[in-house]
Amino acid sequence: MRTLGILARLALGIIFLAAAWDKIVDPMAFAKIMRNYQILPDMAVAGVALVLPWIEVVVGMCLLTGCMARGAALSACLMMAVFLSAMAWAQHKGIATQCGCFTTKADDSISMVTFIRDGSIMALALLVAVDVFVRARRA
Amino acid sequence: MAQVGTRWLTPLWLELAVILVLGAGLSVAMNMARTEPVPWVIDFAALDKRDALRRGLETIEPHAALTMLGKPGVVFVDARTAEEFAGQRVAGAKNLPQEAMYGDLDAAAKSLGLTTEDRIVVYCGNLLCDKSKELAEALRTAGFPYVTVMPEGLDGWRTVGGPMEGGA
Repeated sequence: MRTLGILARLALGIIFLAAAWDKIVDPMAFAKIMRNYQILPDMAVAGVALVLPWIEVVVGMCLLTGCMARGAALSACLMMAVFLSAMAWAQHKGIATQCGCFTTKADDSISMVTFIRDGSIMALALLVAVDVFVRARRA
Repeated sequence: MAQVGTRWLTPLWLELAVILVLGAGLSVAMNMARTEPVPWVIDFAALDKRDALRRGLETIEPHAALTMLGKPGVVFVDARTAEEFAGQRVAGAKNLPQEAMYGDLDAAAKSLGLTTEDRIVVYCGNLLCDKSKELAEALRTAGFPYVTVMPEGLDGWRTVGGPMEGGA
């Protein structure tokens, strides 16, 4: 069980690092995708687009190393909840936009596939969070 | 710091704060290290306008385009594919897919009834698509002088409550 928890934490860490890469490489493209969601005011879009990928990096590194694992796992859950809510909002509003989840390229539009993928990551994040919190309580 | 049993446990709020501060700090540092740092506040409307101006195009915002709908000589042109056009579109718009610019654009435009006197408003899906700008540029080159781009596209049109038609 302990091994499974560690593997899940490592997998989540790698996912977060992988998700951050494209956004760090091309922050303008990520900012445009974020603006297209029409959730944030224009003046906040660039700042969030610049900071968010680095928070993903820190969360990913913490999950990989096990340092501040509770904070990282909780952050991962919160971020996934926000991402899924944003996608649901865009779907509800009929906004045909890119997900902006793993790539800033034009081949990642919001679809059932992106919902299933992000939902699975959310489930993994919850599993990791439960594991690290239970482990911390027992320690 | 809270103590659980014999082990010190960092408070959760402190872990969250450290993650946030580290992320923000790294983003500031790495942005400063870029050869061209990204501005922390971007004027997207001006950016769209500059992009269009570079192409020699006029732009129009959805709420302004809304006031033009139905006026004589004003034609809304949808630069998306026929399949996308078959879904939702601006009411009364004509479909001239951007791909047409690679063929006889003049003939394709005239087959839709467009004349060089028309005020043409070109749009596509949203801010991220470039089809409207590319088609508008090609139409200008093909001899249609009064071409305007609505960069916000159909999403922007929907936001201002512009009339739509077509399937879901």
